[in-house]
Amino acid sequence: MKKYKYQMEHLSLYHFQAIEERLAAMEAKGWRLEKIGTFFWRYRRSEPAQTHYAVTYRQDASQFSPPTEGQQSLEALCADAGWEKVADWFQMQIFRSALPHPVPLETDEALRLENIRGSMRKNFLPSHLLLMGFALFLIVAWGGQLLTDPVRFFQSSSGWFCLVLGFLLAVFLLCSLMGYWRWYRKSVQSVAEGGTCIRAGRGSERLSQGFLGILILLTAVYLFFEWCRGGSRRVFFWLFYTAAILLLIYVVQKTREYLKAHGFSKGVNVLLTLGVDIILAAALVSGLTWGVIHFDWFGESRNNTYLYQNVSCDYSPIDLPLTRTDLTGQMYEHISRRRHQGGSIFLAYSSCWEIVFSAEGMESLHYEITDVQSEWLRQIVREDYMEADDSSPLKISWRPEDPVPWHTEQVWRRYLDGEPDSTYLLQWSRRIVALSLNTPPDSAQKSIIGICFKPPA
Amino acid sequence: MFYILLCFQEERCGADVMQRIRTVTAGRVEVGPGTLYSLLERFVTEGLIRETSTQGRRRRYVITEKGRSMLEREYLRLTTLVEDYRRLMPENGGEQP
Repeated sequence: MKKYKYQMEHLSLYHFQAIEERLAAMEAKGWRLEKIGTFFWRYRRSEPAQTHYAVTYRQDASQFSPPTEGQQSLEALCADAGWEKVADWFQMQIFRSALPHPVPLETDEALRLENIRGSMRKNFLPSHLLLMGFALFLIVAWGGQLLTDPVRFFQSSSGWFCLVLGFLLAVFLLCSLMGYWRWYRKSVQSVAEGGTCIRAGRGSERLSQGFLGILILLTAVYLFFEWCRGGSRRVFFWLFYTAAILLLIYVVQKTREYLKAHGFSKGVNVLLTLGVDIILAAALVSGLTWGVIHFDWFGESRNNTYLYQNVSCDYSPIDLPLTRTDLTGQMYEHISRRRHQGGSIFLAYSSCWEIVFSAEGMESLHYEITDVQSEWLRQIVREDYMEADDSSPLKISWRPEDPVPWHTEQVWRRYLDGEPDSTYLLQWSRRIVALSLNTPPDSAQKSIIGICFKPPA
Repeated sequence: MFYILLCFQEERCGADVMQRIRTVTAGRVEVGPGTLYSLLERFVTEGLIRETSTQGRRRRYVITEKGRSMLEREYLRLTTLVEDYRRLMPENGGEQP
């Protein structure tokens, strides 16, 4: 039989009636509240009992400081009235009483409302505004990329994931803030008319549950698409990163609790907890960055390489859809190949590089393959490739070529200041390939290129 | 506020005040410990009562001159209300407002 039960309660500081009822109901089932953590409320198994719970608010209470003299005096006063302190949650002090008809903890509704407002201004509003800033940052950063560089945006699932997350978070926070504001206005009116603070509806709780559900679903969809696009390394990185963040939060919370339990002042606690937070965050970011670079986590694994003319060449080059050998029929002694794959639910993207060394010197081949299902996005991708490069002093233009030798549907060739170069754009019904060669291909090479890049039926 | 200040004519702690109010009002008025503690702090800050001693976590207070004059003003306000009621109610033979 388990001793503890951990439950995620989607409640806010102003849901005092719901909290009191929830805790009484839990104790009636044999679970007594023991502690309120960052994510979960911890209940300890106890004898089922009909008890009363009530909360009050202390403006001098803090998550960082040990109980103040005021809190201790309040606890003594409550104990005299039959109320036993159970836990605290920011400024909220939670008491229980086993008396059949205990004196209510709060008997002045105007004072209660004033204290709740003070507590909300200290915790709820700053944290919500901070999160709102983060949500707006996501919207501006990724929305900006969607507008200015849509191809890059759609080349990874991170873009749509962060943008949707930003919108969801902003909507959730806005609804949450409006919910509190509505409750406060109505309570002010009710108290002014001699009534009580109104009962907060379950809307806020459902909103929070709904947001969490959607967030989990969104994350699952993101990870699923990443996995399907061959991004298993990104999925593992994401899972590891999330686990590390949760561990960081756990350690920071434990530090704060330890310092609070050992009587450190609020200032020292804040300083040390913040220090631990910054050090761990810096260690996490630098450790992950080092790991990603050192193990080439997001790149194609190139363990067996050697240097040849300052180029990192492969002992066992990876397979690519098109190679210089395919084009020339020659075998090369020194080959360097790289491939970067990405994609999202909208498109699949692959960028390949090859450098080979022959008697004539170094030759290179670079191409990007983009598979797009929808026509509107295909057009965006094509226009993006054809867009003039602002940093280039040369005037760039693209002219159509005969697609027949390429076995494709449409082909464009790039012109620099009116002079043709060896960069081509090939298009099939679902695929676009941007190809850069050292020299223009002959008819046979065009045919080989077309066959190599032709998408499967 | 009225009953709390009234109770501090003598030096008392919060628990005594809660009990005293319940007794003198025959259970008609109850002040919860959460509310009482907030008000005690406010009264101390405003100089209406002062802390006299501390026994463990229990603090004792007594009314100040400022608190006494505020209590007096409140008494006069309430008395005026009662006198107005008596003077104006028709069943008391009072004049029409």
